[in-house]
Amino acid sequence: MDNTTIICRCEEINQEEIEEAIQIGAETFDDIKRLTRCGMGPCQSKICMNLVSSIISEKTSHPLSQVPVPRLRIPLRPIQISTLATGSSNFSSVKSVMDEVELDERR
Amino acid sequence: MEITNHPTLGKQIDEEVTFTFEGMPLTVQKGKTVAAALMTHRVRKLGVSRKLIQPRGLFCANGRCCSCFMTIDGKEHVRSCMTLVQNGMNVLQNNSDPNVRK
Amino acid sequence: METDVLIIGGGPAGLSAAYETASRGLNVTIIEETWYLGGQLVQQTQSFEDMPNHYRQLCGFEIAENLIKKVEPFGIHVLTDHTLIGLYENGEMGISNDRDVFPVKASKIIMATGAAEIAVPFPKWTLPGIMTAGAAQILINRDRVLPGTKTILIGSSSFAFELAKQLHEVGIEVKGIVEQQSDIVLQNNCLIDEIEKLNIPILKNTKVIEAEGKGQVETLVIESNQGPQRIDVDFVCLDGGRNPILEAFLIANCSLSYRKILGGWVPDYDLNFETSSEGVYVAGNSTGITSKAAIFLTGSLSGISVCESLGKINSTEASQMKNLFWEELYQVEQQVNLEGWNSRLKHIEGYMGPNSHQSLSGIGRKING
Repeated sequence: MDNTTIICRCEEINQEEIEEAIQIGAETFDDIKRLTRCGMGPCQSKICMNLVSSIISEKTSHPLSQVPVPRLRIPLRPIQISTLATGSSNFSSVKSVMDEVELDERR
Repeated sequence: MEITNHPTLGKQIDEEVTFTFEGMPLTVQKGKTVAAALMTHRVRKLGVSRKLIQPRGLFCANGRCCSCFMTIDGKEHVRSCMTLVQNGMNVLQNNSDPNVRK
Repeated sequence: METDVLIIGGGPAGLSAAYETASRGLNVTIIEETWYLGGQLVQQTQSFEDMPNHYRQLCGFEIAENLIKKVEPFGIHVLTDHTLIGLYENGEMGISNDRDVFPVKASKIIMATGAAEIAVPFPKWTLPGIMTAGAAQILINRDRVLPGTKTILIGSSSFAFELAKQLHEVGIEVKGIVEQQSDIVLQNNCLIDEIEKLNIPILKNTKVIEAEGKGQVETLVIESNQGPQRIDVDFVCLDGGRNPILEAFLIANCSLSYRKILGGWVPDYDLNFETSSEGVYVAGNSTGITSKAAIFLTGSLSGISVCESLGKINSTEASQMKNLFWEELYQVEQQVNLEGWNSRLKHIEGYMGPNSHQSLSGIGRKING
């Protein structure tokens, strides 16, 4: 492993970029996500979650049990917007996505 | 390279299907995914990454990593490891982000 | 759509839970992301010593066939090519088959999402041809395709050794099993002997420096005390271990706890395998990865709990059944993974609180004794 090793395959974020985020105070996956886009590509952190948690744990000396998993959003799998919006045989799923967004902002 | 005489699973010869990859017709025995069908013909590069434009191929084979995204029958960013190859399928490399304005 | 029991995942745990619930008259729906039932067993051509007794002589794919046959008579509603994409506000599960999205209303949900492989990063590990060990096994045994002609395995668990054997059997040249540490992970000496007989080098104290190749992997550079070595390969298999698949639990707001021995973050659950979200149960490797037997037995246990809570089985019978399953699990795990067994009990106790200690202390060990 060197600093240029890609950790997040989707957004192509390397070790160095993650370490930089930690240096300026990131302590959780979500912090790193907001700073770098790590984990925000099509796989939605399914592959890099463990790798990033290990780096955080190593660099911050927090045990892995104190490095929370990233917040997950729906849809859990890649799905076309057209399916999500118009392919719904019931109440629009896009509506429930929007509900979640609003909830988030109220926090 | 297909395994027709498997040491544990025995002999199996299935019906053939023909699909196209970048316009080139390829034939494989049915019952495998698009990613596996391409590997039969030694095609490992299935597309490129979105930022650094580096080659990508099958990685997890379980529909999780999205490294095997391809354009299949006009639909972009389909997981080729979760899609069974069909007769007449039109398969293209994944070379860019989706064109949402189409 | 409405169903008594919605099972997420049609692998061994989901099928075990389906058998217990459907055979007792419940309306059961399984959603499965792939086009077939059986999960990861389908590409396993090896047998497992840490299986329940009656499965020990069979290969993985034969066990899958057995299980599928076993549930067949009960009219389970199987939705293959369907996946969970989210949760509606009213608690209904959002299911999609890529063309349609629809809610499923279930009295009880059993999540049997399984485990996923952990990646092993090194410079240029994103090159085509570098894949997880599980992916290589899927290619040779499920899809019957050779991923290449020459490979190297990174990681030394029993799975890596089994895979090395299987790759060799289909005619692939396996150039080594690479382990960074001074000891390999696998403990089974027979398997080590077998690999040595096949002249597959076991490279300890060896780390991966980088991959090279134009458009796909062509060389893997490794380094040991004797210096760097360039290995000519056309594919590489990564064995980084596995951890529970959590997405579905996070979506359902189930609390998690970190248990290294169980595979990392694991959803919290009580003795009935019910999570912190009421009516949501867990089964299989997503309860923690301890033994193959646990996959089936936790599936059965969650199934029995669901039957009990829906009044399909009385509490006396339920507790007898559960004791049998727990006992069987203990029988297996005291031999192969006592640490895993203890960690699972600790995990349950951690969630249920100190008062649960008594009900947990004799578990698996009481019957006929």
